[in-house]
Amino acid sequence: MTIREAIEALRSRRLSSAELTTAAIKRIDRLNGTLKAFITVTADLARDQARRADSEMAAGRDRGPLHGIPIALKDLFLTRGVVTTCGSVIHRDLMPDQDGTVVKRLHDAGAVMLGKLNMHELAYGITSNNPHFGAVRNPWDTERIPGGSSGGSGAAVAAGIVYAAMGSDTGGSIRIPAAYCGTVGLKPTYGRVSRHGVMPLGYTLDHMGPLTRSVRDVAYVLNVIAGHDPADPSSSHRPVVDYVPEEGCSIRGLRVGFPEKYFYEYLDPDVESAVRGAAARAKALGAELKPVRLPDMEAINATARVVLLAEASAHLEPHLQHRGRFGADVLALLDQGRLVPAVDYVNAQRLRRKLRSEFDRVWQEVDCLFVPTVPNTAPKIGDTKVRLAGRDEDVRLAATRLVRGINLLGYPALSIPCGLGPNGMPIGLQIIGTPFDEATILRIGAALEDNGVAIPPCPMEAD
Amino acid sequence: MAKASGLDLSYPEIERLVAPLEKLDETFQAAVRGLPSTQEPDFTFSPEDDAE
Repeated sequence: MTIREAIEALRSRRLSSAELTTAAIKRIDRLNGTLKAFITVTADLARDQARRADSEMAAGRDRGPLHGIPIALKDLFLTRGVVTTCGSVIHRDLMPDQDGTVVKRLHDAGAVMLGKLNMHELAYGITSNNPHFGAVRNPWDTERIPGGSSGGSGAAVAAGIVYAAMGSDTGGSIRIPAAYCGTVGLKPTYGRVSRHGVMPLGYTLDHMGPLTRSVRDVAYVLNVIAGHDPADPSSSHRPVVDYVPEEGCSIRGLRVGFPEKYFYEYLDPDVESAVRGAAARAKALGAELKPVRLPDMEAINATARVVLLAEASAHLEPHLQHRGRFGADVLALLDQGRLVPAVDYVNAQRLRRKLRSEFDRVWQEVDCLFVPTVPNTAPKIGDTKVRLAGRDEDVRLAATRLVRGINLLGYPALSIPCGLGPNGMPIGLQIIGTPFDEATILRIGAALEDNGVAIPPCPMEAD
Repeated sequence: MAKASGLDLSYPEIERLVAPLEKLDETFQAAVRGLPSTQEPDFTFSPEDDAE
């Protein structure tokens, strides 16, 4: 069931929020031992919120499409009175005394919070193989990773535990788990959704966004969380719109960019076939497919990595005296970040402005880009290499190479499921849009979804 | 990059744990060499309180 279906059931009194919440808690009890998707379950809080939602609705107060809907939060969103670990032991006792802006907006919209979701330690990685809280497992195949760092978010949504989960994306951490878990995931434009009250990883790369089971559901959540926040210095003043695509929305005449170089190299052939199939469907719906040339994506990715290495190590430097408290992979990245000279960081930010300016010219030719989210389907837990087009590649570099650069540029990007591989695992299409025009990429996603670009529900959703 | 620091990154697991910096440095420095000397960085600092 989607948010849209659930809210219809709530408004028509066919279901209550208390019933939805009880069902979600039962699913956590049944599945979380395997999936390790939740670090903290806030069952009592959720029951209270659900009762309040039902009372308000009975009294005629409707807070909107998230009213009474069970959701969960990646465990780096600060939550008043609920431990916020960031998937690490250095924060295992962190008890915030206030909610962050996104959390507050979700509460005000009447959402019911089921708990805090497992993640790659400190959001610094893509496997979600967390050494402290257990490896998150992919609901489509529990021997495989869900992706990350928002792995618990992808797993909890795909398994049908919650209707939406908040994630964060510094180098692909919403879009990668969305692709590997077969959910929809949106990284909004930098500055569109407040970062206030979210533990940072890379200050100038961090984006907050939702994962859901449909494109319109993502838009419902974006409607609630988008908008200026004076508490976030990078928050935009640009006005928000209604992001929910209308029924039967059209993409006729939209110019879809197809960058053959870089994004279509070293792919699993089934991924390439599924993404090209989605593009063909867009064309059949009236969109115009246009080949485009992009700026140097290798340089964009390298610049993004330099910025992240430096920013993450700067943020976590005070904790590095306790080396034993970090997982080995995160510690090694933090060590690497300490090797980045200040000169390189400044030059990376100079390159960023230049590359962004070059990339902005692409938007004179096309309205969006269609590319794979990730070049493969979810690897097995513990795999360190993946073989793509005859080349062995580090699992982490492969997963991030088609998404990381978009964080440097700050553009909005949507991942939607567009097929299943022969191994039965989901494949993601990434639709990259122009700054602050989330509405267009959501409209494209909804039109594709309405016209058969979709996958069957995760088998575990029916368990 | 590693040359600029005295930090010991020679522990045996490092190459298994993270991608080496050399390739990154090569790509990155090549891009830096193409920067015009007048190129400003993309910092968000602004003397105004609510810079966008």
